[in-house]
Amino acid sequence: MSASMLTIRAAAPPLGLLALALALLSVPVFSLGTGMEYTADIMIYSIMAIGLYVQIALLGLVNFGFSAFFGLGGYLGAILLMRFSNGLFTSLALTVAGVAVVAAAFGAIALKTRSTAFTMITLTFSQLLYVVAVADDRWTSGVNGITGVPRPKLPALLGKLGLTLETDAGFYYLTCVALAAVVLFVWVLQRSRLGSVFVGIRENEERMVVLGYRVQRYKLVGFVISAAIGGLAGYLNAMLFGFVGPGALFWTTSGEALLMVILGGTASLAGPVIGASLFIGISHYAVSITDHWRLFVGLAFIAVVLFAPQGLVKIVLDRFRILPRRPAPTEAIAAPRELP
Amino acid sequence: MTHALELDKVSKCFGEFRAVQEVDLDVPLQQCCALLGPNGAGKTTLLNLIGGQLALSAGQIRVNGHDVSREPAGTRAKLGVGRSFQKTNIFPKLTLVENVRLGLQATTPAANWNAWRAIDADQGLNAQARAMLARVDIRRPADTVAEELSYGEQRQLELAITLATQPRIVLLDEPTAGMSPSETALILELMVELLDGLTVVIVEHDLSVVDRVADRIVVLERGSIIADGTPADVKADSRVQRAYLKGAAHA
Repeated sequence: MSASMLTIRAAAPPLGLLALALALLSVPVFSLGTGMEYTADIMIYSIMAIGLYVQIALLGLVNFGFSAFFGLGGYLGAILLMRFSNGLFTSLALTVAGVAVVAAAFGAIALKTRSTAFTMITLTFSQLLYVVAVADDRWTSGVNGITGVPRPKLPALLGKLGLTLETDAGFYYLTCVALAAVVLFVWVLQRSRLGSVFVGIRENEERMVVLGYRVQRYKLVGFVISAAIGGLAGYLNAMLFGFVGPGALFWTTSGEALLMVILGGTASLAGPVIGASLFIGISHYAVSITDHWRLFVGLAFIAVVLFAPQGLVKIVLDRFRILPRRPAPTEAIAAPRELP
Repeated sequence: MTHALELDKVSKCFGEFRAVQEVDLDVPLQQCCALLGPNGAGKTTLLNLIGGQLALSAGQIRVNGHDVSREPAGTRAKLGVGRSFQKTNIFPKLTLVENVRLGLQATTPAANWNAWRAIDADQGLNAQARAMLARVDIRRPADTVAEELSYGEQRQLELAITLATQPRIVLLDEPTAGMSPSETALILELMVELLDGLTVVIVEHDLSVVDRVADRIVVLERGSIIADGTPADVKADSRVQRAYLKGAAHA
């Protein structure tokens, strides 16, 4: 391999990130209306997919009820903004903390199970929240959902600088910051000591127990981190559209999150972002062609499973021989491993 | 005499079947105790009871004076019990250095909550992991994925992971099973060198290995101890010859 090729490979990720950041930041300048909303939607779903990626890629947990945290984040954020506080940091912190507390309680139960049982109990939990949201009129407005969710207010100091979330561009930039923060956080996490323990649990939980690790505690922490990220995505989603409905809690939202992770793959943190972009992209354009837009998503899913079972990112990594630091737990998605 | 490991009337039943029956066994500090017996004698079951992989049906187990009878495997590991398995139990998809690092990290649980510092930048930890790989004589690049190792090397790696936890009591379940003569010779040398000063309970069928490492032999038959003593005494025991040695000779 030539030295120049090595240089290109080393420079490619930072340059790619820089180009992506510039492209995202320039959207409000060159795009109007739905283009900006569409890109913000992709970024929000990318955050949701990254949240699920933490469970699947780092811990090997196939959660089929991730919509619980996405929807809960939306509802909590909406209720807080409409009834208690319209401050960004207060409502956001309380939303994420609320989702984390619920996730801790739920995770303490769900993580006593493994593989298929875990997948099913997470699905059950999300459906339970869905039923509660539909049945309640006072807080969640039942099947109609909460409409007219206001955008949060920035602290006065930032307001004096002319920054606001009232405009679409202002909210768009908030979404950019949130995505960048989540990507940075998970990137640092998966390279850390805690990340290495998560991967050890994913690879051989039984051995980790024998080595003396309190595996359940680590799994619960990873589960809560993942849920909190999902809650953040739900919060932003409710702000973007000014609406949150029971559909955010429904199992189809969990399925979509899982599809996004599978499409992009778990070989790299770029996987869920690319998966979410593809999913939203395909569904966005397919909707304009037919009501049966899910058919196109299904075809894309079949194609990826057949021709890129480890996700699209893995193909790029293999093509340019950029090896991921750790092997992707793709088999965990296809068939959760039974421990002996 | 101070005992590292004390078993008092330890029993394990699977339904009606009594796999281990009222076993009394005290292992002094720094002794290497080999468990022998025909297949189905209860050797691995006993090792699993000591390690916490199986729950006791009756009896008591103490590790360094602590009653661990109802404690999970993790608690026993914290008290210094290290374990290797009959079937190689490593992290096959991770690199060699990552495998050993997980053993080392187990000794510093508070530091494992660090979610911001890159573990690859922890030079002390990585140097320790590489040193441990050298100690078990694995001569491969540290970033080799573990599943690429030969069977014998994987057993060496498992020994490295176990020793990285700095155990005081090591439980070894047939460490040379399935190895070629040259691999057996190497792992035997490593055991003699690296397990010196530790309390060891080893299940092993290969008598040449037992002769080399064991200070004491305990023979089990149908879940009960039928002989207990020095290797020479046990080999001369007529019950042992009937129950095991002749059977082994005929096998």
